[in-house]
Amino acid sequence: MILNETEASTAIRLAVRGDEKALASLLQANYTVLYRYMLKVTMNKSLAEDLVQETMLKAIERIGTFRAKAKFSTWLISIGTRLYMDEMRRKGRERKWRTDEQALQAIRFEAAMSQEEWPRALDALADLPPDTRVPILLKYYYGYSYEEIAQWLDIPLGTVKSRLHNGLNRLRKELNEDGEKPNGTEQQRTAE
Amino acid sequence: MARSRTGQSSSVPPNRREIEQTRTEAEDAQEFESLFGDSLRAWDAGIDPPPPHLLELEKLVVQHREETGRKLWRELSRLWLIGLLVIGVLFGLLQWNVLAFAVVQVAAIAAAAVFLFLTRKNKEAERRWTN
Repeated sequence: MILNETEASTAIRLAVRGDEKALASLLQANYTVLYRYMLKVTMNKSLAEDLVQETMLKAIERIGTFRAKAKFSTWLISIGTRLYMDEMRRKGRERKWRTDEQALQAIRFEAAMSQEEWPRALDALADLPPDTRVPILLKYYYGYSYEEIAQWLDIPLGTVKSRLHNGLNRLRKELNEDGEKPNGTEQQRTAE
Repeated sequence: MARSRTGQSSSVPPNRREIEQTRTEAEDAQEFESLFGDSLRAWDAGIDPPPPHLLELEKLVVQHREETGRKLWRELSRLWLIGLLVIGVLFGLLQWNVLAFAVVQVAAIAAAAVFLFLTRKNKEAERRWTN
């Protein structure tokens, strides 16, 4: 179900006031965007599914606080990001950030069903630790600002920039070692 | 959908450092786009999960709100009960021995201060990522 701008605006107004149907329609309309984001960030399908569910529950609890200063999808992404980072901290996974290889294999297999091959570039992205992969995706693919990323990850602005810088260096190095060539074509970024 | 915000003020001309910084950020963005843009978009296009049915989501909203409300009342009741218990004990202590009451108050304040200090320190440690 796709909502146009007017419908979304009306649904948000009603949802903030407690209308269950309006909130349900907003969650349905933004489900795919949220799922795609969580899958890219976690590189783990079952974790992504759990976090999408948790994000929606959190959104149900907090809809009264949504001020509509940003898009509803942005708000969901901010909630999902915080939940993922909390999950990483809670499980102590910052020390063991290696992507679950089995989970990644499952994603590669599913992607292969719709694409011709799984690009090496995405393996390089999956190899990044979460605290680097998340800001890189938020900044360079989704186009969020440094300030937004800093707020969602609860880290200083300088740390966001240094992680982006180091992350890109690492990706560049890894792809160059594998002999991967950039496609060289400039294309419009369409993240949502 | 791509979003671009520079957040730069238009009233003050950017200095050379800001211009170089913006150019570097633009170069980084361009580099990421050339290395990963097509792959990520192609992957996105292939991810098409069936969204939950609207009625299922409505049910989820209603049920979760009811559950959250019940949980809130349970915790509030627990808080009031514990509060009444503590007030009852302190009142009894005051009636029995004013000095003992004062000692308990000072000890409680000291313990609270130590607790706050320790928990703040832990939160800072949790926020720092180890590399």
